[in-house]
Amino acid sequence: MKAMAVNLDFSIPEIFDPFFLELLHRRWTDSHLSLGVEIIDAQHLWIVGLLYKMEIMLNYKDPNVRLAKMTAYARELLNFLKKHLDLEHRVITAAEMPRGKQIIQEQLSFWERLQTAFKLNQEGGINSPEAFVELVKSWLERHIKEEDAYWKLHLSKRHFNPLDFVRAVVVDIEQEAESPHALLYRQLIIAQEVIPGIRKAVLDDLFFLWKRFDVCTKIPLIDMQHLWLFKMVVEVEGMLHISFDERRAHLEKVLGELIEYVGVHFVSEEGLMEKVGYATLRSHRKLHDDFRRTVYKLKDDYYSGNHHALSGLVSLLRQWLLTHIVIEDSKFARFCSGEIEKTVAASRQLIREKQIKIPRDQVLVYSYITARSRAEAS
Amino acid sequence: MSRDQINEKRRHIRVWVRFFPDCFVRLHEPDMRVALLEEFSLGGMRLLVDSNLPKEKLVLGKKIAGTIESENPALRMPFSGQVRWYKMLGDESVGAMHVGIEFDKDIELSEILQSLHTAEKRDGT
Repeated sequence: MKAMAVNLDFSIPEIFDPFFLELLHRRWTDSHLSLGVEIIDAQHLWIVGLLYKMEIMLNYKDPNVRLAKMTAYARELLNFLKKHLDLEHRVITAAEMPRGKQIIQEQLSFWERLQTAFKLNQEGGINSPEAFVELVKSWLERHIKEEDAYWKLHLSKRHFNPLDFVRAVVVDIEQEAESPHALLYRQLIIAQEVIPGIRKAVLDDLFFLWKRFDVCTKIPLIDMQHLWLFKMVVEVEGMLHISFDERRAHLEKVLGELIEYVGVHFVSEEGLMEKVGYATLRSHRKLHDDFRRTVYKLKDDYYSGNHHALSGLVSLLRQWLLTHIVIEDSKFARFCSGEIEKTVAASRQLIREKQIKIPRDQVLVYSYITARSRAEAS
Repeated sequence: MSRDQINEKRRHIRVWVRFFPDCFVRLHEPDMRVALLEEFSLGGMRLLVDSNLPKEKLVLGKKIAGTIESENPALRMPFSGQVRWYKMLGDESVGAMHVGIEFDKDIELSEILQSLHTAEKRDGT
């Protein structure tokens, strides 16, 4: 076997569950855990995230999955806490803090207790995840709000900028900046986004529409595209509330994208209908064609100088798409419901054959909305 | 076998999904057990499994099959493939190992996996 070095540069760490990120953001802000020192806050956020996941997993029904996940989270938490405490100990030592040695000793003693709590059973799972979680929980808030606030205050009193001071003691600042916890912090706390580039208000409107009209087809490909259409409609509608001159260029651009995407969606939907042998494909396609013609007529009217055609076009898009999905596409969903796995496999084959594209943002929006729906239902 | 000695060519972007998505892997073959999905790409995935998986069942190139299970339907999928590498996570006392799996060519990847873009090779090959 020929040896070959693995190129780790291709790996892109990715935080993958937007709805969990929303819950994590809420917990972080409600608990007032920000210290105001970015590197330390990013590490704290990671610890809080892992701990929160463990708390959620404590209620997981399947005991095998629960144990496997709890063990993996606990192992990561234990290792990460060690690195985190090492960094803080370097800060405390460099800052020549009064009681510094005592604080370090107390923290090491906590870590040793945690290591003891990470006791594995014969099957390789953690013995008492509940005790592990409780130990970290009881320590964490005091650590952030008292111990860390103490060294931050000490640095400020000595006229050091705490952020610069911490940066100076980090061994590899580039590695730290590219770490998953730093990426998470920048996205969630600095940019305040659970999905990059999509505002929370848009996600809320989208969730409201999704819930109100109950339009889930259970075919991920179709649901993703419907959600993306709704998202574009929500964005276009939001622009109608600002003055025409301000919105004109942006509205024309977004509306153009929406009309183009309607076409992409129709082609995808018809392709899937054909693949699974949907009996009323011909009449469904006719509805799509009629709608396309109406949209292009309104668009032409607008570009011929009739500015009122624009609001008519937005209203038509919203109303038609909602009605069409609720009534017509639901018929297709019912047709597929008996053989949903076969339909999903057919849709995945169309993606593999590059007849349909699935952009990342659509996956994230879909993941967010469906997770939020499940959380609300439970 | 160390990861530095793996004979594999990175053709796809890998996505690190270690802790935050609600998913796991249920292995059906060679041994029924739960594993955690740590990283995936269009070509395969890296799992974290406990070390009780007998090593004779982890022969390189051996057939492996199972399902990625998740509450998210766009991630859920059956898979089959081959064990390409494995490595203990630290020493035996840690009680876990990483297993690298290459997917078979004919399986239908889930929407989430298919939304990943193929990595561009830096050397142009």
